[in-house]
Amino acid sequence: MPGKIISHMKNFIQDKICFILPIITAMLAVMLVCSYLIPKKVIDTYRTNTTEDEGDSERIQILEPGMKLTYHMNTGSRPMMGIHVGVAKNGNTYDTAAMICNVYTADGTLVSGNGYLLNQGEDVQYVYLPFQDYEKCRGDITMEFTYTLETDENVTAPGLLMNGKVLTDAHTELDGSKMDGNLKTIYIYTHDTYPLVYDLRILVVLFFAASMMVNYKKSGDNRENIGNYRNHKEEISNGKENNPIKKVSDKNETGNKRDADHCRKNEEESHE
Amino acid sequence: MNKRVCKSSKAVKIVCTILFSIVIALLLEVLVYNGKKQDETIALQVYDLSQESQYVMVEQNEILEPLTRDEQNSIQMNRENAKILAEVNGTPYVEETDDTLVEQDGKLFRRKIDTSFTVTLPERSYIRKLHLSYGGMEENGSFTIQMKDGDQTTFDGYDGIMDAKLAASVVTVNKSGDQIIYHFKSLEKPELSHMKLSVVNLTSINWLRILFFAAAGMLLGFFIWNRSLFHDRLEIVFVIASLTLGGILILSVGTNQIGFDEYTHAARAYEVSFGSTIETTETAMRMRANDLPFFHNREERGLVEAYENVNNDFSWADISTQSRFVSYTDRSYLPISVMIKLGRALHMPFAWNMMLGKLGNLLCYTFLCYLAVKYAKSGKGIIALLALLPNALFAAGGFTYDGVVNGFLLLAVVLTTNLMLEEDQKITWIQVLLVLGAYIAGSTAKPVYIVMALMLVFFSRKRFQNPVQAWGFRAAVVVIIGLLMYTIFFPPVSTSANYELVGNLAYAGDKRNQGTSVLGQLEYILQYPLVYTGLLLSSMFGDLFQYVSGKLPFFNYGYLGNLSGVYTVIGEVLLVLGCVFSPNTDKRNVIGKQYKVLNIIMILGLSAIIWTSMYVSYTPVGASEIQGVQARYFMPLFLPFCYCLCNNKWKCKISVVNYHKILVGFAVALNLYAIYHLALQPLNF
Repeated sequence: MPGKIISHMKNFIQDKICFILPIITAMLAVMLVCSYLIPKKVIDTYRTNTTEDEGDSERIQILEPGMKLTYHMNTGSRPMMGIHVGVAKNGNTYDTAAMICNVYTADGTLVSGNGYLLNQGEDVQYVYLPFQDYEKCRGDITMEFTYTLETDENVTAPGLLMNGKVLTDAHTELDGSKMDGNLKTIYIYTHDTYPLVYDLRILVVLFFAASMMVNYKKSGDNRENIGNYRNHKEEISNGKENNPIKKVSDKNETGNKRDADHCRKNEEESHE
Repeated sequence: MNKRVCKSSKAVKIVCTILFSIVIALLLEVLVYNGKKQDETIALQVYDLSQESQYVMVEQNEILEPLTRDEQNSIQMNRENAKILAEVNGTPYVEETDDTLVEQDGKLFRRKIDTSFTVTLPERSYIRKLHLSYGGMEENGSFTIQMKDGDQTTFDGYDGIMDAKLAASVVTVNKSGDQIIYHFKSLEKPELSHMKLSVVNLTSINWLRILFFAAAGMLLGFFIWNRSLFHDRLEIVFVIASLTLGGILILSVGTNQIGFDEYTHAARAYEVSFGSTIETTETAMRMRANDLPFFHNREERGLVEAYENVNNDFSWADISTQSRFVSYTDRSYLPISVMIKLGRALHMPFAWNMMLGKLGNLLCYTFLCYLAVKYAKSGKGIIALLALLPNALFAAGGFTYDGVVNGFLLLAVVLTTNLMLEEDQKITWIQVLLVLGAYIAGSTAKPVYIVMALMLVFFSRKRFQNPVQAWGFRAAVVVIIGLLMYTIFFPPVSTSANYELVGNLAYAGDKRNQGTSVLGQLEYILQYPLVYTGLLLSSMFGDLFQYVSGKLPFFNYGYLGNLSGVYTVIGEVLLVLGCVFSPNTDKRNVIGKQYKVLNIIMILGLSAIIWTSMYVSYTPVGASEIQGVQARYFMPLFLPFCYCLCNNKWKCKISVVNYHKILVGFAVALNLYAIYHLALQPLNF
């Protein structure tokens, strides 16, 4: 049974190959175009300032209510998707307080307002603050970090992780005055990637090469022969044909050798 | 009836060979390797090194130990990479200082404390093993062991590293003496009260050694008794030899990282085995950082594997994510990754899981070469010999994509040659899919090899149905070659970190070597084309001459070492004779002269590209030598070269069976020798 199925499949592929290969090639080509048009956005991380050089150490800048810690930087031509900053809760347990991060462009327009609820996470943790309208967050931008008041008055203010590293295209200010050192940060950008393009463009050419090798004329002839064979078969079933030897040889041509051998054997037995 | 008798006598022969081999291996183990020596007076003796005693003398000095070239390069390379990262991140570069480093006369040294222990044995004794331990050590220490018999030194020059993760080392001595001198060099003064030295002469059965000798015996029996497989089914002979030899090699090497850049390949294969969420255990992290403890004998192997298992705890593994879609650069690792995943599902110990991963690579390589030998219309013996070369099996049995690359390219060359031999037949679509598919799969990890597919462009017009078909096919082949070559310089990057850096040609260059820059080197070549052409030709033909003359040994097991150049010459002579002469009963299919010329041109062209690619990406800008080129890069070119030597005129009076036995037998013997001397003895005795 499996042999018969494989044989049928073989015959089918052989018969239809002049359609199958071009169709596959065309489908792959369409997929290639689609994969170019619909790229996959992936996150691109830069550990700008997460470690200390020798002699430097990590410190926590407490952010009392009303204080503004600003981080000025330049993203170049790319939009920035968000930033990782180190938040330290100083052993406090918060209920409603949040660390707010507003992002302003060079002309002072607020393009993102986001916050991190301090009732979650570890005592000291890098948190990801995504920018809302991030496509506008490009070029010179300023991030303003503030702390919203906690309802429990006994709780002290949280802080942000800093160190003494000097950055060439960024600096940190506290209430408008430039600080020694900078916020510890990981920049999050994004870029488009085309994961299927490599495979699809090679597969398109590969199947194009295979399509080129099909003998379309011969396939047409084959179809004609098969058509003749089908007519011939119908004639047999209608009783118009009564030469069993011809039937065997016809089957043989289609490649169904086992059936042909079987018929030949039956024929020999009947002669005996 | 005769058939049945024949079959039963075959079965008896097989059973007898297996039993005989096992018995001989057991006898060797018990009598030769574990036989009691005449002057073996000590069975087990432990020396406390905490203070001086009747038997132990202690001395401590400060010394300056010169750094190896690799260590110096590593320091320079890290500084350069830190500079690039600082430039990209927009931070000022601050050079890290190391107080233990001392520079004298332009050379770098490390300041260390040398603690020397002189242990006098109560009486002269034969010593098998020395166990050294330093409980609670915090940093790796290096040590040397020397043994004296009176005034005569009987064991000298053993330099080892005591890994802090194991806090112990074992040295195989197998010499007699009455005094042991043990130097321990460390950055800090060692805590002597935690240090011990033990003399161990206990019997220990080495199952790996038994397996090796039993397998060698079985292979010998197989070569003596079998004829039919060597005549009709050489591919089966190849499979038996490949899996046996590769399997023993994998077992011998264990988790020791002995391949070039093996840690990078192991890390990617490990990561791919996870899908989207990667769980990196402490042991896997050490493997990724090339920091797994290295073993030199089976006692150390036990310690290493125990350490690996304890730290392979997924409950505190590091979690990271990756795309579920396997990138084209990592697909060659799939045979390894699938088996690592299987091993993890079966809760295998770490070392066995990694060995199972390597087995996946070996199975894939063996299957591809099986197809190549089976479907080759010419030179089956030559293909089997090439596929069984020690370098090829070493690559197939390790963490590297070279096995997949070599396997697919061998198959592709065989299919191409088959097309060359069918001069009067039209090329079919299925042949095109298979041959181009094999070239593409073989070149995915190393795109430079796709140039080999250029041979397909030169099939004559009569091989096609019409001119449109011929030119369409040729154009497609050229486009595929172009697309893959394009990825060398402009990879379709899908990284999720430092994209600006990875995708920027200005920073491109191999970060393992200092002073590299793709753009800088290309500018240099264009500025001095004649100088570079001279350098290229002298490097190519200079190295070729060195290998042909045996001055440079070809057969290599990575960091485990080489087989002598003599074996390279023997191998070359046998290969050339095997190509030039064929059995007189065999009518060999030979490719036409035009294809031989094209093969030679392709080999020279691709060699030049390989050398140039290493000059551009791996060699410092403007260097007067081409660095980083290894003989293994040229392995896919051996078969096309062999086909150029093949002819049907020169015959020798030898049967096909014996012809195949000589070729495959040489490869098997060479592998057994290499495994014993480079892997089994130095790592497992």
